[in-house]
Amino acid sequence: MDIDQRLDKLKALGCDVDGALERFLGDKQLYLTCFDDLLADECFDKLGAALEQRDSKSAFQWAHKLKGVYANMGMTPVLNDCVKLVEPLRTGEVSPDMPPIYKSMQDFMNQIKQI
Amino acid sequence: MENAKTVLIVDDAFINRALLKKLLSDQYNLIEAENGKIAMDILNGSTTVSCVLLDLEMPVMDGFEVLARMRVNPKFNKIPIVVTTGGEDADNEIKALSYGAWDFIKKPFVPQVLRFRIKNAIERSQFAAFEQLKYVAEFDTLTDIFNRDKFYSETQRLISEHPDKRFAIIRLDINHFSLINSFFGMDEGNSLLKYIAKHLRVNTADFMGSAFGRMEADIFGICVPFSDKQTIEHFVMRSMNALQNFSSAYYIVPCFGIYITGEEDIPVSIMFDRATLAAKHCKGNYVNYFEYYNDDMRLRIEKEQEIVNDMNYALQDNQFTIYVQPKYNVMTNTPAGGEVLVRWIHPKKGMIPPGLFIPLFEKNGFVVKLDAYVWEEACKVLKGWLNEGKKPNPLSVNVSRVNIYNPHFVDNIIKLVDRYQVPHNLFNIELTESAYTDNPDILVKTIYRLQKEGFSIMMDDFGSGYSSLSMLKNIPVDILKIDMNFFVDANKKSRCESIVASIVRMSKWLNIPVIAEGVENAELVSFLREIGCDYIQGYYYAKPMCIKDYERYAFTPDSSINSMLGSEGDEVMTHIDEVLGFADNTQPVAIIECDAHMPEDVEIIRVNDAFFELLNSPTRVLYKYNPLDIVYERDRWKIVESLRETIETKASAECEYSRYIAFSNSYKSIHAKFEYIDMIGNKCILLARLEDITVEREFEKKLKKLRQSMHNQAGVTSRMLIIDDLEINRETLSSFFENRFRIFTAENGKKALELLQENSNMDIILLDLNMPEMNGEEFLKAKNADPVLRNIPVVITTAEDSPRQQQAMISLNVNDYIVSPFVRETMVRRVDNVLESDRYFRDVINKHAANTGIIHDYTTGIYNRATGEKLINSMMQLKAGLYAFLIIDIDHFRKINKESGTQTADRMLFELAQMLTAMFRTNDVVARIGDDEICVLMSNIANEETVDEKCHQITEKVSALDLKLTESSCLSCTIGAVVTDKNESFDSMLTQANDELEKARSEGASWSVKVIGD
Repeated sequence: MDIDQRLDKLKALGCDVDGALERFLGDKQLYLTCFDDLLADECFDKLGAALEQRDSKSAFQWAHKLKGVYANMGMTPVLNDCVKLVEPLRTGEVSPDMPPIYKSMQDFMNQIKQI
Repeated sequence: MENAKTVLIVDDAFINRALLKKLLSDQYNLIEAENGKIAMDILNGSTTVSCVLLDLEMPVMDGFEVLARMRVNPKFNKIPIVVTTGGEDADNEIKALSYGAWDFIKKPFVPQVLRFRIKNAIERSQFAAFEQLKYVAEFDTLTDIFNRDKFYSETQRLISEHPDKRFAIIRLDINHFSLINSFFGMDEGNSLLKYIAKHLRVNTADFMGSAFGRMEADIFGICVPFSDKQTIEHFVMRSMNALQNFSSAYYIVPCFGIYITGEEDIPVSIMFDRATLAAKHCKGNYVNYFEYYNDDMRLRIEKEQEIVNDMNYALQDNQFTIYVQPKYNVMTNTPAGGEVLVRWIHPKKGMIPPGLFIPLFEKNGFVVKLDAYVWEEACKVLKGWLNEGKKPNPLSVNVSRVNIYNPHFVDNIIKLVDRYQVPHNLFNIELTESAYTDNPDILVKTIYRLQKEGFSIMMDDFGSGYSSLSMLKNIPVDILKIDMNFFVDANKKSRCESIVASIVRMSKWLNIPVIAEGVENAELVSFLREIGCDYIQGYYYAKPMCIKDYERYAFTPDSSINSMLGSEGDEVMTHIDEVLGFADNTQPVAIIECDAHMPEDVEIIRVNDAFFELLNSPTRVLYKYNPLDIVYERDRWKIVESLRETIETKASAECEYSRYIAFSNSYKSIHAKFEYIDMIGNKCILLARLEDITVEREFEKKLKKLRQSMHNQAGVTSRMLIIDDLEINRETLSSFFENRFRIFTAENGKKALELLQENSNMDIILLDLNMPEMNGEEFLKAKNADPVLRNIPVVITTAEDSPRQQQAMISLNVNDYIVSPFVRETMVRRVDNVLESDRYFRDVINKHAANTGIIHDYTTGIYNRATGEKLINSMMQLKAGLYAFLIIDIDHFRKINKESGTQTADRMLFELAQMLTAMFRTNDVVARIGDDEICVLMSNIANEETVDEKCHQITEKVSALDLKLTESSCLSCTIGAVVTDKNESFDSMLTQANDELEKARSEGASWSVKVIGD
């Protein structure tokens, strides 16, 4: 699969690829490398684990970090979910509606992994 | 990239860092850190970082921690920090700002914005590299506080920026610091220095505006605002305590020298030198670990240096002359020889008292030469008398203790005396007791040899040193001399008398005669006579005199004390004592003696306690130089002229002069009245009565200035002149102040000067520096040269902020300095500060006035409350028919004060006071009795209706006063008045008039009048 095909797939999943590429000064290769790094990163799993343990402090830390990254990467769908986590977590609360949100993020990430 | 600046990216997300690198790597060198701790390590390393891009949420050490750490470290607190945020959390942004963040960038990043923000941040930080260099140039690397240069410049800045404030310049060092280094190692020494630096940082934080630095080694400099000694001493105490806590293994003894800035305009380095001089006075003294500088310290050093410069030539040039102070045998009432003393008659400085040069010569060894010279002169004199066939009494000479160590000392004396063929018994030798404590063995041997050769030995200053009475057992002295000055203490008179009596009695048993020195009054003479003291030497009988006078004294057949002092000698002294006794607790009085033909040759003989109080002299010691030295130079002739007049008329003369008060480093205005007492020879004895009139003079000066500035005001609105060539700046600044000032603008210095010709009544000027035609500096020079414009305060507003430039401006007498970009709050604050400082001064004066008999209120120029009360009470006693007492109270004064500012409120009071003064007769009393209350006493009025009519007029006129206070409100007042024909007191009328006032208020009326006392 060449670069452009991968980018198209990301677009199809709802990512703001054009906006992100502008940010990356058109460097598609770097953009995709960042994707690979993101998928290899443990952050996302750690967020899941923290939510499970109802550890709001580290959950907030991971969610906050991911939020910044998703924003920069233009990963709109997962960014929107992530925002829903960050604010309540900031106040130190792990609410019951969080695991479903995480599940939805997980689904999205799995789709990305397929690409 | 060689010259590119380095940006430190701190973010735990790799992707964010990668992205930032991508965006910035073409312009900057980039260093990454994945958390705050790594970032701090990088900053502490050798790389110079120009900007930090900082994420807030990170593991290990978060962004806030980084901000906090960077802010407190002077190495880093100038590095701009741009925080990367999610953008939705405003609380965090505010928190970050308060922690010292410079700017924000939101995620997702917008490349252009990112670059722009970083570029701005770096430029604003004035180049991190430069800052770093500056750090090295300005900071002490061991302790991280200012180095000497920076401390000086920072202190200079503080002083220049606050011309109205005084500062304490403190030198701190540790006694025997080198011992700590050598006993406990360099590391221990260094950690003590760091500890001191840390302590200074904490301890100076309580002061608004302070500076401190390490000068060198263990010497620190501190500059803190000075309000009173208590605060400074409290600071010293806290420092003391902190130092004691450093180690339990040893005591740290610090030493603080303190210089208080004052009117003298001297460089900070000199101020610090003076603090150092003060510190020397407490070195080696474990009780007194701080000392304030006073000018006597400096004068002493300077005088000493002059003396050292001149001494060798003076000896060659025969400037040293011997004087003799006669000794008197009180038992036989006959003269009994004299002590040879040395006087230095300097061709330019006149007579230098020995107290000034002998201790110095003792220190530098010159005294050996001088001693030899004096001995030889004494021999010449004795030889001369013998040749003339006279039968002189012995003369005694002083031998400084260093001579004792000279193995040839005794031989030299013998050789000298024999060369002049003077019998040894005429040549007595005085040794000080301290020579005994130094080295008793040598001294004893020396004395034995001299006595064997027929010389008599006198023990000088007996009882003043540390030696014990057992000394007399070991040393076979021939005569004891006791200096009465050591025993004169009014508070312990009976104890002193007992000691002296014991010494005399004991010496009788030992068969050693006693000479009492320093005897100045009749009371002491009769006491000494009573206890059986044989000889007396002192002013009471005779002063040290030149050889010619001594010859007249010693060889005149009926020589007696009275012939020296004149027959009325005793009477003079009694008179003096009476006067001094009378004046003991009231007016400062001094007995002075001056040359009848050269009144500038003045000496203070005696003073009373009040005199010392006037001098603020804590030591109560009269320094022996000419008292004119400390009189303001320009005023010296006034005193000399008054002295001349007093001597010529044999009556009295008065003058006013300024005198430097060393202890408080200030000038005092003094009124002096000189009264003729007597002539003794060609010396005239005068009485000087002094009065401190500083407060009155200061008050008059300020009042004059204030009147003038008020006179200059056409309206009551404050006026501001903004001088700036950029219209945008003029507009911005106008917008900050237009609600409080009437704004005038000018686009350059020349235009501003033209405008000021027409409108010289500006309250404040905001001045840009770089302008075409005439720049700020030229404008300031022109303004300062103009007496009308000189006093208008100036605040510099500029983009130029080099220290050199700021220094240059401060020296041109500007009040503050603001660097753009202009921030409203800062601007308003600074302008208020400048205007308020004058206001503060006036409040203090008014408060002071109430206690010191000043009669006018400072703000309004009418009588103050104390005077008003006094005048009204005495007017009432005149029983001049029907009286009316009115209280005029300004409505909503507080609100006016708050909304329009105190400047405006003050001006309003002034206008109102002027108006009221014009409305009443000269015999009526108008006085300000409260913040917004003025009272009037009208005497001899026709009837109650007159008062009613007057109240009506006042309220009309007050509301007609066009004061342009605020747009919405106009001025109004309420009056309470009482009418009476009885002798009512001020207080009683005030209470009842206040009741009327309240009544009027509650009824919604403007005034209310009541007849009382029926």
